[in-house]
Amino acid sequence: MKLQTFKIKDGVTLNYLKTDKFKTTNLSFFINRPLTEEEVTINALLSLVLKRSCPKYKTSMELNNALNDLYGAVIDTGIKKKGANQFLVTSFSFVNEKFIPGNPSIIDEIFTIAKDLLLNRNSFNEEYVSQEKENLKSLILSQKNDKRLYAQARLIEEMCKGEPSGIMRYGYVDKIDEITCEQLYTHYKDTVLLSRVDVFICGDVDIDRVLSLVKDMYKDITVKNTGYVDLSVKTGVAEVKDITETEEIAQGKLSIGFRTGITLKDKEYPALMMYNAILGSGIFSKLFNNVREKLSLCYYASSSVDSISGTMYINSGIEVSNFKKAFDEILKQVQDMKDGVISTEEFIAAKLGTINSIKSITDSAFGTIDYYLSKFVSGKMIDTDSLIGLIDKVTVDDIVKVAQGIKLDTVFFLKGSEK
Amino acid sequence: MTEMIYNEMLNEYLYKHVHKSGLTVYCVPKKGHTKSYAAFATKYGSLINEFKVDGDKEITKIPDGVAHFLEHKLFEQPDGTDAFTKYSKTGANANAYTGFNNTVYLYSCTDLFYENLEILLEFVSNPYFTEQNIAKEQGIIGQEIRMYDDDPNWRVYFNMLDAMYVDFPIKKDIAGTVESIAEINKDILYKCYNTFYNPQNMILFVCGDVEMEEVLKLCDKYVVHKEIGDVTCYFPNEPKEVSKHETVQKLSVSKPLFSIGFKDNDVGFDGEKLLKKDMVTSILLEMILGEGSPLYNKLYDQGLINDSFGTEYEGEPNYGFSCILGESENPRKVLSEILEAFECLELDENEFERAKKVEYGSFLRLWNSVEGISNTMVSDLFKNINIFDFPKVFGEITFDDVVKRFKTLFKKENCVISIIEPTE
Repeated sequence: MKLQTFKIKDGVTLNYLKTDKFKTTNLSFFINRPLTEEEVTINALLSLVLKRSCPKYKTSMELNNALNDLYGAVIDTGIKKKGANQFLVTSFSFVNEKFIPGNPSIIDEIFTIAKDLLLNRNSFNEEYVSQEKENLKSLILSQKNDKRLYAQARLIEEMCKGEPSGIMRYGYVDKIDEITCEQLYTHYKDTVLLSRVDVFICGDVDIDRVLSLVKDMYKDITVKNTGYVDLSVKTGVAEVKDITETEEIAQGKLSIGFRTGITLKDKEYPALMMYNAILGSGIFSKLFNNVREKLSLCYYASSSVDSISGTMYINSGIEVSNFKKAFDEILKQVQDMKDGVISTEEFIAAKLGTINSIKSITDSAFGTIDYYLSKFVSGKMIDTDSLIGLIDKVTVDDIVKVAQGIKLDTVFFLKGSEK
Repeated sequence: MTEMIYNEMLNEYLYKHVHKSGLTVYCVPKKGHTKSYAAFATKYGSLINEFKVDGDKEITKIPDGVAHFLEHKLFEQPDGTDAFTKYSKTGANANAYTGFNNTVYLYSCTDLFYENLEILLEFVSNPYFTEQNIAKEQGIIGQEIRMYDDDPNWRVYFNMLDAMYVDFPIKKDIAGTVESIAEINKDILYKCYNTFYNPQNMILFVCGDVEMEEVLKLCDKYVVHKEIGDVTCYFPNEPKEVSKHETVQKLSVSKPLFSIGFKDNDVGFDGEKLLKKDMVTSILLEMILGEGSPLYNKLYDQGLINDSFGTEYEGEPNYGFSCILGESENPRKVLSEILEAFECLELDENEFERAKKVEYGSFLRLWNSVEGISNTMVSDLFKNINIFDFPKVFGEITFDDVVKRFKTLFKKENCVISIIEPTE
């Protein structure tokens, strides 16, 4: 899937991913804002309020029924964090007309709704705003329901205190009450509407038609904030942080954070991908084979890297009494990587597995869009084929060099209360 | 003989071939996708706990969690490695899962499809169980069970099933319990393997840039016919009534979770009739509780439900239920509002037409990924459902079908609520 980018005007781009492999089309708007503690909560609230209604369909029920009439078109709004940036995401997914008897026009109606919902607001419904304030509180608090994700989110919050990455995606509960309907509207009108927006469309469409629809949509908008915010990547670790919290749970959740100092921009990035694959990505990895298969300590143990912040996280669910055993074994695997204990089998498995997952990205509209958005933010454009070419050139020495630069930063353990 | 089915509107093909071993092989070519997918599946899941093979003296009763345990252990190889080691030489993404009714071994890959298929067919056809490798797995699965113990979404669902069913084994967790899996030994695993991992009880489903002919050649090499007597599976006689109307568990959650279930007593059939019931129920749920429905919007505007709210229907030949899931400060109020609304609900024909469009849209969405289409088709095929029949059955559904279904499914006496409350 090749990416075609059109500049609509300063701060507005249209990006076309042409493919006929999907039965639906995805149209997504990514409004870019700097990721700051001051703004994160109000942006999260805005994303929830936006999807409730629009000037043409004044109630949620009317809007939902208009979408249902379009063969169950779906609007998704949310927040995405990427380095020092956050995005207010509004995504429309709708079936391609050619699979509907009579080929009714769907895409034009979607653009009408998108424009109305994102740009044509004169005010927000006071009632909806107060409902969504409550919903946002629930959303933030319910992050603790999934202990695995929660342990990682808490790890990142503690490890990256004072950095953009440490800011919670949906903001903070104690900041919600003070937001008024007027403030929200002012923020929308004076800040969000004037911010950079990247529009993506993935599917099989008449691109000239879409181009004119997007041009028309943004003809009266002048974007003031046209660029992304650069992240200064932290590499050093002054002192390893150790944090333990207690909850009433059956299984302990161990989350360990590291600094890689390597991001998408760096030439070492392909070697970091290989490093992560060997250490802890999937069933061929050292973590899976040692912590799970050899020692039977867990059901899952895996690592992942944040390609924009230069960090790496390892997660595992273990018996609380096995904490030390599991922790030591995980760190032993990290040490083995530094010492170059990498077998040919591991190297080959990692390379094939990594190439397989890069190729697989293009089978998902969301996955492909996210891939390219990350590349935009990092300022280094590289398509999937070229990335595969770079992976192919990575050597064991490159991986060991990466391994030696990786530093333990924070250990977070969520343990059950001993009753 | 390979049979070909074409759907013009979808522009999709399905090939079907009954292999001489008794294995039924299906292929959906999807050339545009980079990934290809294969699933080797048996009609054997967690619900089968008692069975008898023709010629056996006694009924075999097995501990809970055997199907799932077997799934984990089948990856083990006689040389001490596991099948994952073989996949590590091809880069495939391999996995397996166990459900109530089947166990599925699968992989997806962007290269070397047939090499991967050889690995899949070979390891599933060659079990290797030892007491030692069983002991190791008890530790791993023990942690898997503990992980689900902490998962409120999993618990709220299984507690609902436990409340809904009196004796039917769907009450029990798929993985069993730490105690029940401690009873598993190699004889039990071999007995279940030999009984249910028989080509006649299995299907092979492939999807992607794949040729049926090549697939069949590999079946010739790895899949052999096995003579086995008829297998009878025994299930307790499940009454129409529910076991209890309410069940509550406390877990570390921020706000109560609920799952409201309606036990479906209109069961005992498969195939097209089951497909139709499934679709009618989906359309009905969209009409009465979808995001465009008055009831959903009333509950949402009152702050009783939020975005996490959803509905689903599970229909199998021998059981069925619909459930309504979400998060609420007051789940009992959600239930009473729903039951009250159902008592005087008038279904609307315009809403029926609209809900049909939504149903049609979700059917099309299914075809977006090789995984989506494969997972759905594998579980459907075991119920004698072929979703290539969807457009035909869809055309036959009338407003009257939906009205009738509403009256039979949503009875107060068949209703249960499962709640997860926050710990103090």
